[in-house]
Amino acid sequence: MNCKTIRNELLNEEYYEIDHSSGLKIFVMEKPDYSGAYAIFGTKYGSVDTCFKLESEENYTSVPEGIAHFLEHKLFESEELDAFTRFAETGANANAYTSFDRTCYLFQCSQEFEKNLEILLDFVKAPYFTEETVQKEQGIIGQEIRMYQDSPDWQVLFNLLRGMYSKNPVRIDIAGTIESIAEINAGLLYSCYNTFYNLSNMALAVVGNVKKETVLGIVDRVIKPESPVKFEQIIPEEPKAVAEKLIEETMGVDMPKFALGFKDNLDSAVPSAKKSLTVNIALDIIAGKVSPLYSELMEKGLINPTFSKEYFAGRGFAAPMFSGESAKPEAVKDAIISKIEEIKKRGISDEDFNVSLKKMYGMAVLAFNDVDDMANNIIDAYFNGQSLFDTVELYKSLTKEDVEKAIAESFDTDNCCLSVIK
Amino acid sequence: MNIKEISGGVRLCTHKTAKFKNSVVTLNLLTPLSQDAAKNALLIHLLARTNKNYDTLMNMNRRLASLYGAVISPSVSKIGEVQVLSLSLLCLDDRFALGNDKVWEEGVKLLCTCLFKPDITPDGFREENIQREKRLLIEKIESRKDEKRLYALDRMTEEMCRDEAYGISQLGKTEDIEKITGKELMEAWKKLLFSCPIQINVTGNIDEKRTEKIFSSLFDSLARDKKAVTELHTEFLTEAYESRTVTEKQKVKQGKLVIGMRAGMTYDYDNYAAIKVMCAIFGSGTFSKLFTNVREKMSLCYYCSARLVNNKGLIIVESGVETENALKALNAIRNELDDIRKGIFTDEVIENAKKSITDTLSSVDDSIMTLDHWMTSQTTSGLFRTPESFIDEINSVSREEIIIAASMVTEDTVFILESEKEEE
Repeated sequence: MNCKTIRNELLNEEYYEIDHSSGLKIFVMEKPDYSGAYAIFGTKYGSVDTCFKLESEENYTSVPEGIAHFLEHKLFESEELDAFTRFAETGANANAYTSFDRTCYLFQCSQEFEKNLEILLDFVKAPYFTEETVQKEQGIIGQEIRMYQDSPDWQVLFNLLRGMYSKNPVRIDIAGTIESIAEINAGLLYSCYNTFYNLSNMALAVVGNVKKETVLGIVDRVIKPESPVKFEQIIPEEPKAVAEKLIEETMGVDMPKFALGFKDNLDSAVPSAKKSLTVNIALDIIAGKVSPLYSELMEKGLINPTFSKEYFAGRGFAAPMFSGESAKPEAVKDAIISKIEEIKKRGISDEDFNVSLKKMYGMAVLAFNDVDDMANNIIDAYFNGQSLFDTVELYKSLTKEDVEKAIAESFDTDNCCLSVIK
Repeated sequence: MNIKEISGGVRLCTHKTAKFKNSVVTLNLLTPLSQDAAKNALLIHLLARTNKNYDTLMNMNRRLASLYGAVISPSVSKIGEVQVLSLSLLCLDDRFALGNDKVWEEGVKLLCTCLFKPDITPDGFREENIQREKRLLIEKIESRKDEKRLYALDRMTEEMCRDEAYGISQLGKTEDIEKITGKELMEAWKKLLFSCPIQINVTGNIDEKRTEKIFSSLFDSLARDKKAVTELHTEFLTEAYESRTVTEKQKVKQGKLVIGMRAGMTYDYDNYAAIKVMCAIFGSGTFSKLFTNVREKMSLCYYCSARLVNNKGLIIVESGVETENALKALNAIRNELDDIRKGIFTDEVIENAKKSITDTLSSVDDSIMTLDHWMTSQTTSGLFRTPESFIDEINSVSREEIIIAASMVTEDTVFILESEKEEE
């Protein structure tokens, strides 16, 4: 077992990175001044993983849309007591989520940490699916899908993804559709589980009032060593250009919603820490609260405080995005595009760069406040091939030219899509 | 947590801790929830956006960015029948500033400028600012209607409390906002500053003496008259006069069901522990009757939960269901509550409920925002209570007390949002 200490002087924070003999990667951040702790156990498997096979298998399996999320729901069940019932005995707040490229199981507690961690590790490593329980879940998830169908914020995002991507599975809904989940059966669930829930594809992060030794002791006891499995995936080739420039849907909302995405073509599976940071600063300089454009759009009545920006990125996809509510989404889009063109032509002023850099640095430090944020960020960084302190460290060396380069590379104004919900 | 009255009707709550990398300062202005709700809500947004020293959005936002991305944000909530207008500052702790920037002091100065020195001319607030904030507040209200879970909850509350102040929306109504004048806003600002009860929450790695000095001198200069401070009151109806159902149809995929009940309380912490535990068994958490039976066994919905609104003595059940299943779900929910009244629940679920509540209470101090919200939740209580102070009470609740608490609950209003099926 190999254990490294990773430390950051500026933040005065450190954590352990452990290669456990079972094959599991473990991170522990001891925070003795906190009352509680948070643990997250995740696999690099999400809604975009739709066609795969184990190295030892002959044929690829194509799975129904929404199966990773379905599997997440079903893992809580077991032959005896389900995981929720077990967590109820300790009072922990347990949950799970599925995103495009990962599935994570987690709990937060201030009592009985050891018992909780044992339950978490145990239930995720003990799948139990039957046709009967699969059917019952179809009703619950069906209602979850319906709930999201009524959410304009959700719909405006997924319409945008469908507008930007014609082949990449990021365009499919994480929960699938009522029709697709009807095709799910126990056999398919086991096939996904056996491929992606191998310890070599997973990681555990614990942050809070705990000791590294305690965590390792529990892992030693609960987790059985596994030999790594290798799998292969078929990832459909995605054209460089967006599929559509404009996607509109009428839901009868009182406030129209919009999302504007610029399709970014990556040369790696996920954007590097530097790429993410420079694009985020670029977004801030273009239309963040500090920018002249933000004030102008506010004063003209074109946006409101729901206006936001993010670098939407994960395994195999990346797009700088602006979203919000507006009576005139096209006008907002035009203003953003001409601002990008202007910056490309004239460059960024030193003042604008410094103001945004200072602001983004302050916000990056705040990610080290809550135990859940820290643990989630550790897992995020690891699954993206990075380390927790990478971003904070980058602030020291970042230049204006780096950000200008990001604008030139990642904001192709001819390759964007506007999604509108009316 | 330290609590101190620093001036007439002004309470300062401080919580010194070095474990966070930022600090939070919230100025809470308390006023009775009334027909003035729209005016007050508009005012607090206006105050947060610009001030005398930073008189445009751009100047203000650049100033905040230069303080390492500090945020000053307005919020409006209701605690019982009190409208709580808050201005919050969130800023980096000085220890993490690059160089010797005094982020906290500068941030607090900016926050106080917002409240004490708004951008006004002798004629009142500037018309262009008023127009902008009116638009933003109206858009916020309209947008809330688009999230059907919130919409259904708002509609139920409005129907259930139509004869009580609690039925008034904390953000006000669109038609009232449109009519507000600059002069009225000016008067509202003065009234709040001089006569409303105020609670200031300060959390972080702070110098408590310095904090007290800053806020004492600010409020001393107003010379507030303690006797003129507005009294706050919330009416508690201990039982429902009748149970009624309100139904609406909209083009939605999933219907919503919201049930408002009276918990039998006469004030915010009346029989609190027993009701809280009972409510948790009923519908808060994955061990609860609503989760295990209505969601898991009957497979009727993705969410179905109950929560206690102790500052008004209500229990609210929310669920998203297919319209054809709404009545089935309603009956199932009623049966679960009946079972608690009859004592049909295990000792295990009592323990689950207690552990879940105490676990949450024990970790309030792990999040600076949760700490700030806790302090705000105590603003309307004469007696300020800490999270830990509830733990023993929760743990000592007996089975009999839970049964009695459940038997005190009466169903008041059922709101059903039905989906009007589109031609597919």
